[in-house]
Amino acid sequence: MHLVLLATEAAEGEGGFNPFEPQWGLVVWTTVAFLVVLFLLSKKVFPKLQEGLADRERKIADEIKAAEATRNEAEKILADYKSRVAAAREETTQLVEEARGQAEKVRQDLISRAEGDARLIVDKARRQLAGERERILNELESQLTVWSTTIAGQIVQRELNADSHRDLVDSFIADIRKSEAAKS
Amino acid sequence: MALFLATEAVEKESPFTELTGHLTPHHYGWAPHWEIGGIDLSPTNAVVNIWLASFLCLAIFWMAAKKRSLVPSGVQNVIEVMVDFVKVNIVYSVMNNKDGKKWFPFIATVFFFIFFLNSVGLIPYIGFTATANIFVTATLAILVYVLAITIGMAKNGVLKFWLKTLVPPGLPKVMVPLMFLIEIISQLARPLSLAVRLFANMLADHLMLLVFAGFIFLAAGTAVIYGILPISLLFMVIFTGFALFVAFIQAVIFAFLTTIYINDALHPGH
Repeated sequence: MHLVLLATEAAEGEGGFNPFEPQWGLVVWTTVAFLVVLFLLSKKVFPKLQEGLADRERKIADEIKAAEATRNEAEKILADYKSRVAAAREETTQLVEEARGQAEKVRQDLISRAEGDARLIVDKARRQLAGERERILNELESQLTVWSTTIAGQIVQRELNADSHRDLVDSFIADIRKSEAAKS
Repeated sequence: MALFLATEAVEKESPFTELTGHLTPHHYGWAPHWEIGGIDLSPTNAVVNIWLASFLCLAIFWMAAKKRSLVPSGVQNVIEVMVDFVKVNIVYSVMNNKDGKKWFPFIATVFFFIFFLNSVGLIPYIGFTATANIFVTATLAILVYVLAITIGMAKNGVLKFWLKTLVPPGLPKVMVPLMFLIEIISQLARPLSLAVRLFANMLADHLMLLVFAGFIFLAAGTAVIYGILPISLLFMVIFTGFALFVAFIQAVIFAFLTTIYINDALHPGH
């Protein structure tokens, strides 16, 4: 500060620094310059700048509005899609249930049919077996008669000791076997 | 800038005279001498500074307005940010939308004109700040104040305007004479405070720079110069940055008060 005072005094002493010395030319030039700048900025610059800023604000507002509309549309599509997916899922579940029911029905049907068929086959087999048995028995019976007669005739034709008796039986059994083999 | 001035000044007989001479308008040797009605209109360094500030202000705004793109960049971006700052933080923070729209160009011009006048002096080799002269700031302050009261009288009528301005409504009758006196002083203080605040701040700002430059001259030729020189240079750099901040703040204050005065004039007694 002391330096400033010294400087001021020194300058004033030589007629230099006096901030309050009238400068009417500066008053005129300041007024003229301010009015010129005011006129040009007000007429030529600020309207353009404000128009530009307003355009940008309008554009941003429009884009925000468009983005909101797009978002609403997207939300609507999403909701629609979700409801469709839910409906499709429900429909699929229903179809699966129906298919499962039908498959079960077919399975039961097939099982009962197979059981019926099996029963028929078994019955048929049983009947055949019974018939065969009956036939074999009848055949055996008639054969036994033949064989008895044959044996009795042979017994009568020769006297039997123990060894000849065994030979006789063995021969008889061998005859039966041959006869059976020839039949089959 | 100050260093350049200092270097120039150190060769003269009195460095202080040379330094402080840069705060006083002076004629250029090459410039013509213009005088109209006894008023010296010659292009002094102060006048050239005003022309330069006006030209830069118009040129930069012209560029910003001419080259408009949807996504701003460069000069357009800076100007738009500043214009938006003036619009939102100064004009529309005080005025309603209707008044703001009407008065924005004037207030923005006040802001930018003063900002450029304040800042041009910081450009190296320019060496003079017009707003560090009381006649420049007083001219602007009086212009603003006269405009404010003129529009106030035009809108509300002369008598009604002064009555509402000098006698706030709802005041007890006994207080009227005292308030009338206080309001007259308040009204007279408005242009005075506008002018002196800007002038004093800008002058102080440049004096600080000159003081630090002065230290270098005082220490020149002595051993102290090795300590003084870096410190002075550092402070000059710091104060130059600070001066730019002050240039902006003072323009804001001037424009803000202008807005308040115009708004008060449009709606007296509010």
